[in-house]
Amino acid sequence: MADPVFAPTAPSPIPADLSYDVADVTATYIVRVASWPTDEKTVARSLKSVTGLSGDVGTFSRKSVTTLFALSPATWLITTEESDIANALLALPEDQAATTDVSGGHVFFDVSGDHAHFKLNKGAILDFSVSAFPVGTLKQTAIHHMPTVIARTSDDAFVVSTLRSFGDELQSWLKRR
Amino acid sequence: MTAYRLPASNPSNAVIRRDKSVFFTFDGQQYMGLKGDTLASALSANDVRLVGRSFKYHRPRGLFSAGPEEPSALMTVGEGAHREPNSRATMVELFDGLKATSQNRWPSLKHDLAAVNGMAGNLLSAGFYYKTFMGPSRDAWMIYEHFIRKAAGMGAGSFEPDPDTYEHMHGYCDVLVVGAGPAGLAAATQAANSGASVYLCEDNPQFGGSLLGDFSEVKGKSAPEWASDQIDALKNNDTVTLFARTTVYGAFDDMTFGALERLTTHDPNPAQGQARMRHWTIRAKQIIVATGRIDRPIVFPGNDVPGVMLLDGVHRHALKYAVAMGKSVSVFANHDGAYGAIADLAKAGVGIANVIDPRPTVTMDQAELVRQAGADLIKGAVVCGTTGGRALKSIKVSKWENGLLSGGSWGLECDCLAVSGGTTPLIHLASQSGARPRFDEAMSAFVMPGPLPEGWHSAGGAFAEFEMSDAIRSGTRAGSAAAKALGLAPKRATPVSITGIDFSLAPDKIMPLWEVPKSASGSKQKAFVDLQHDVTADDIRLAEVEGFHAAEHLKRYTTLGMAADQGKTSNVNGMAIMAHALGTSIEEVGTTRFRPPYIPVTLGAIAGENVRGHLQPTRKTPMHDWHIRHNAEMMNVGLWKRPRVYYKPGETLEQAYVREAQCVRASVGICDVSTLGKIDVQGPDAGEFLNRLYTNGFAKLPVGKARYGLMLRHDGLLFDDGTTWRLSETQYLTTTTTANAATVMAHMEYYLSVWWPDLKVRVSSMTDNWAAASLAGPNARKVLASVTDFDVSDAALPFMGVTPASIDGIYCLIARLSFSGELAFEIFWPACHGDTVWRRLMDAGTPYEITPYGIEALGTLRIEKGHIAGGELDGRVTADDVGLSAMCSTKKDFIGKALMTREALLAEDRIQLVGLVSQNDMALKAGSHLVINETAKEPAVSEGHVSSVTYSPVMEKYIALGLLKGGRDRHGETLYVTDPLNGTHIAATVTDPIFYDKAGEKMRG
Repeated sequence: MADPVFAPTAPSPIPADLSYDVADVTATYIVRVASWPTDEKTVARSLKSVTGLSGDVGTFSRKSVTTLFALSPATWLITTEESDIANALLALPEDQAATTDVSGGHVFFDVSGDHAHFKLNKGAILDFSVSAFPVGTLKQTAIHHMPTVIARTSDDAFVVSTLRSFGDELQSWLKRR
Repeated sequence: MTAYRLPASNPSNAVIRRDKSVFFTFDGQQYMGLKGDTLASALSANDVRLVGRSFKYHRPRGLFSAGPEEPSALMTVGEGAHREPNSRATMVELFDGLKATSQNRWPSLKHDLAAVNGMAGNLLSAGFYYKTFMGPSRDAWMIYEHFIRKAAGMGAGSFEPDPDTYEHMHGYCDVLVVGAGPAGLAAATQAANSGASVYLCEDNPQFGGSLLGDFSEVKGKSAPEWASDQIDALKNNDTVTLFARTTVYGAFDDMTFGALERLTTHDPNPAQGQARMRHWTIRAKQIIVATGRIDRPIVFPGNDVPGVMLLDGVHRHALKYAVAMGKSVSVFANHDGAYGAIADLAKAGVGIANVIDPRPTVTMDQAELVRQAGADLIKGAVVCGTTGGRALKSIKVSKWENGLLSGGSWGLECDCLAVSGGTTPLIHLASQSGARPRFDEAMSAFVMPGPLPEGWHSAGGAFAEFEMSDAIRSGTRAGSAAAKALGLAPKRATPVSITGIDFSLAPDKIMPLWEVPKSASGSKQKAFVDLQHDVTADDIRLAEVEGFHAAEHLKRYTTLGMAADQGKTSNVNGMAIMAHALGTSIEEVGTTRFRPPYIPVTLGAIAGENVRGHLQPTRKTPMHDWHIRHNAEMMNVGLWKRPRVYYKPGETLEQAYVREAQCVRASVGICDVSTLGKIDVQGPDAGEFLNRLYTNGFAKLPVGKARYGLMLRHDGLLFDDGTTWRLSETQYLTTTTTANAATVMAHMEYYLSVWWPDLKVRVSSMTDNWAAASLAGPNARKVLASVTDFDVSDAALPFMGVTPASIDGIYCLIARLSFSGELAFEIFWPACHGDTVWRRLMDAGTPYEITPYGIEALGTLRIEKGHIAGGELDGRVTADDVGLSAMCSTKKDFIGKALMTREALLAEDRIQLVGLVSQNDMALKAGSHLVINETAKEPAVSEGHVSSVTYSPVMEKYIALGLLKGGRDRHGETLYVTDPLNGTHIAATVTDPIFYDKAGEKMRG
């Protein structure tokens, strides 16, 4: 009789105890800039001169304490710890863009670790492979009805944002493994 | 080791561990199995033949197969809150302490009183319910239904809440391979080697499929060893994800697939918090269906006696689990492929007694295989009956010539009959894609349609490639095709050499045989097509006589294929019998369209995390914690949590809200209105934009002023209302109702994006940025003046005035608006200072006994004032219905204007907003109908309905707002507020909807 050959099997592709961390991200000033469609490039240049950041739609960039989320065509969300930058953004010419101080209206979390993408995929209908969701890009989605923006900061780290009123709920969900 | 456990053989070593015993119970009796057993294989090893009862006749049922197609061995597994009915014993992994119970029997499986139904077999034929429960009156159904419901169903679930947790997961891959048998493994390997990301899903705990029950050698290794090597290689490929215990149960639109991963169903001691199952939503670019094949039965009289099984089931139990399904097994098959299985069974140690083949001749090789197996070969014969009640004792065999029984029958003793009438490729998933299965006459089977939809490929048994070498080749081919479709260059695959006897079915080596007719054999035994639902061949012929010819009609009339197994082992025979009755082809009759799910999917897995308290997320206002600390009862308003009332000791709900409302009227109250929708509208064309959205004008609204506005849908019905504040020449702040905040925002963005992209306007939701409070009551101004240096006098801030201000240095916006009818201010300030400013206002209000009030008192105040809210804004009313037609401009255009003057929206008998006062001190109920009948019992025509109710401290009565036909002309009339479900019928007087300060002097004061 041949030696036993026990049938090949494999554990679940998702480990039972996911390894990732969740941390609050401070965003003291949050400004939403929405240009008129005809002034998108002009406003993008203004944003670059104020923040030093730029990016195509769907990208995320960070410099020191300022972060720029290029949410959708002609619409940007900027978080910063510098009041000068926030004020400069709010002072953009009103014949080019609508600028709105939305400080306190959004919350941000850093979600990082080997299994961060598994956790996010429990709620977000997104392909988290690096090829489909490269570092430096963002996607807008919903997690359990909570409107969410997810930006990839590295292969295994993300910034996850939602509206302030959903903050506790999203944080609780993120921490629940 | 039991008498039915076979000696160790190479394939079975792959699945069971002979050194690890597992103890379990079935109907309270303890048994021992082996690690790796299924519940079915372990019961069979213990000679448990009777495992269930059929649905209708409660006939004894034994194991029929070895996979998800099992129609008979349905059991309840677990107990208490964990009990799960209708578990297929063939798919339940054995573990220590497993408790299984038979179902659909009373008082016991062995002695089931309901088996008496079988004696009324002719009465309970197809269509019994439709024909019987028609009269004598419509009400009689209510009586029948009670008993039918009691008799219906198989196992019973638990009444306790499910204590387990489940979760969802979304997955993405280039290629989804369903099935990890020889074809699936080859397909996954080829696709992965070509650079595709691959998901490989296998519903069994082990990968390998038929390789785990095969004596063949692949590339010089045993079939299980070769499977193991393949899996090891796939494990080492980063682009491959392996899913064991995962069934892809459904194909949905746009290459989306549902899969169920069983995580702890096999684990007696799962880790704390570990999800029991995980539901996967998989989005794949390509799919390869390698789901394999199953045997098809032959229908003959007495074919449901425990011991009659599919040959494939007997084979798999012997080779995978080392269990003989009988000590003396007879085989009844009509094709060459069966002989490979016979040889395997003999090699595994199963005692084969007879092989009955309806074909007049077989090959020399086949005859030799039978001889070597120690069995008698009976050619040109069929099984035409059985003996035995709860276990097979013998079969009756008769000669079969030219499709007819010939001569008499004779008996052969055996305790297991392995039947194979051909093979059925498992094409369910492909059928779910919308592709219609095609009947292949040569193969006598429904096969994959060709061509498959874009992105779909199939391989192996599912693709009618039954020989192992063909299956592996077709898998490689499918993997290459999928890679090519992805734009990848397929890698060259190395050929695979196979030795051994193939368990195969060549297309031209089968003699179609669907049924051995009962009439010809003279047997009185029933011939079953659907074993679970007791659908007989006669039932199908009856359906033909009664005109239910189409496959879908046949299914619904007879319930063929409607049981938990969804006709996996019964549909094809059923269609063949119908085709024969109609004198047409099986192709012509067709088959029913397979729908998801392929296997039963636990509801908990579909719900995932959306159970118990997490059905929906909670939105909190910035002052949420303050409300909790101050004894607020929070209630859901959409996703928001809002204070309903702030209880004082001993108060009832009504006492609490009445007290709060009285405090507002008498002095001052404060209400958290942060949930109101707030939208920043900016741009040079903002005024024009709002003019087009609202029925009234906003372009000329002065800076520093607010205006109440109405918004219609394009169909002319009322959509939303709220105030809009002009903050600068180019900036407005629009407020919406809490319920419609997101909808109004989407409405605005839609019109800006699609219809008016030329307008220089951008909108931003500010709902979460601002904390907001309404400060209302005669002392509201005093409280406000004490916390801000800004002038809030009537002169500086008149009614509908708006001003920026600050409270303790915190920027805020103050508008003089009133929902309550009192002197009132709405104060908006940054959410991050929510608690600080709120507490500051509370402190400032202490001298005036400021009272926080919740939405019950808010409702009381606005109902007394006749203001509309959600109850009235129900999507069915016009501006005129609620008395606001004057707000619809005749000078400008606005959304909804064109359709608001439709004849039906101007009809005289339209419902109109009225007030209602209860005449006998009884509370009115929202949603109740308004009728003119004095008594509750007579049928009545609804004159309208009650939309909002409260007890009014001003009126000292229960009052309501309602919508009444021609209501404005019916003030003073007595109507009855009727709620038949709750048995209330209350007289009420119709009044003007404004109960309080009709002139508006208080709010303007």
